[in-house]
Amino acid sequence: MVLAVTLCLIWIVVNLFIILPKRLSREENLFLFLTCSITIMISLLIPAKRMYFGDHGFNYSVEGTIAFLFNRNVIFPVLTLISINLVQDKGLWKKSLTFAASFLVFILFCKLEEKHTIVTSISTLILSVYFICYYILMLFLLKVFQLLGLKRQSGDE
Amino acid sequence: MPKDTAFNSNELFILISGIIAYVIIFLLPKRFTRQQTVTMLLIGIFISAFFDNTVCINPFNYYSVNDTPFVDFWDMLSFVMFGPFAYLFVYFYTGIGKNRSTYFFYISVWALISMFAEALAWHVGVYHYKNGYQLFFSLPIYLIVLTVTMVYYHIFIRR
Repeated sequence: MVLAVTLCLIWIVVNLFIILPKRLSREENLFLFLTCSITIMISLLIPAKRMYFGDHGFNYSVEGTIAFLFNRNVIFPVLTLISINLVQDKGLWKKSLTFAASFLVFILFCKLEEKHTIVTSISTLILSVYFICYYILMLFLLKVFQLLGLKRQSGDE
Repeated sequence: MPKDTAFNSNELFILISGIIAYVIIFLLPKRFTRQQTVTMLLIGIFISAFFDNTVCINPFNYYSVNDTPFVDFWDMLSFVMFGPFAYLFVYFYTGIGKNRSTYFFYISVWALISMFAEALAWHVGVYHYKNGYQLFFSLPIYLIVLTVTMVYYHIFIRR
């Protein structure tokens, strides 16, 4: 059941990414996908420890593990790509709306699918702080990556 | 059998191979933009982090990395050590003459090089195989990973 739901979610999220307008180049999108995937994998090392290395009384089915892996390596990174692409739009209210919607989706997803996203129960406050830090880090790294491209262009001129 | 957590062959292997790989990248004539270089390093790091956080965990649990069952500093450093892998793969590919079948032989040779490097890493204690896992099982993983990296080259570099 959980795997079926996750696969449907993947289909929706990936298609949303295809449909929605993209403000970032292909290189920037790839960079963002790689950095957010690595960040998420490292962030989950502690909360998902029980699942990763086994714990008495904490049984995980293969189906549940695959759903967790899809959430970790596809759904969260692609949702980040969608959000960061949309947040590049001009206008403060658009940026605020995108951030608020992304925040809401993140918290709801982690809370509703807790066992297959963050594995261990984490308070909403800590999740909120994590999301804000994660989002700022992604925007910062993207800016640095864009500056690398600009430096190259100005060097060519 | 308890593993040795002191600084020894596996940590030394990670340090030396990582430093050598990054020095090679630094010394080679530049062929790519800074953005492309960063992306290729990230591809290598991502691949290593992805497989070590997927094949190593329950219910698969086919191998463990370094001395502790959980991810520690040296495991993280081993992810970084893999960074130059994708860069060097693409770098040398851009420097050779190509025909329709070049990619096939190029990927095959790199898969064998990767197997040899993994055998070396296993020998010094970076990898500890479990649950019947054998070195040979990594071959399809390398073939897929190298093919994906080749797709990256065709989409992002060649155009």
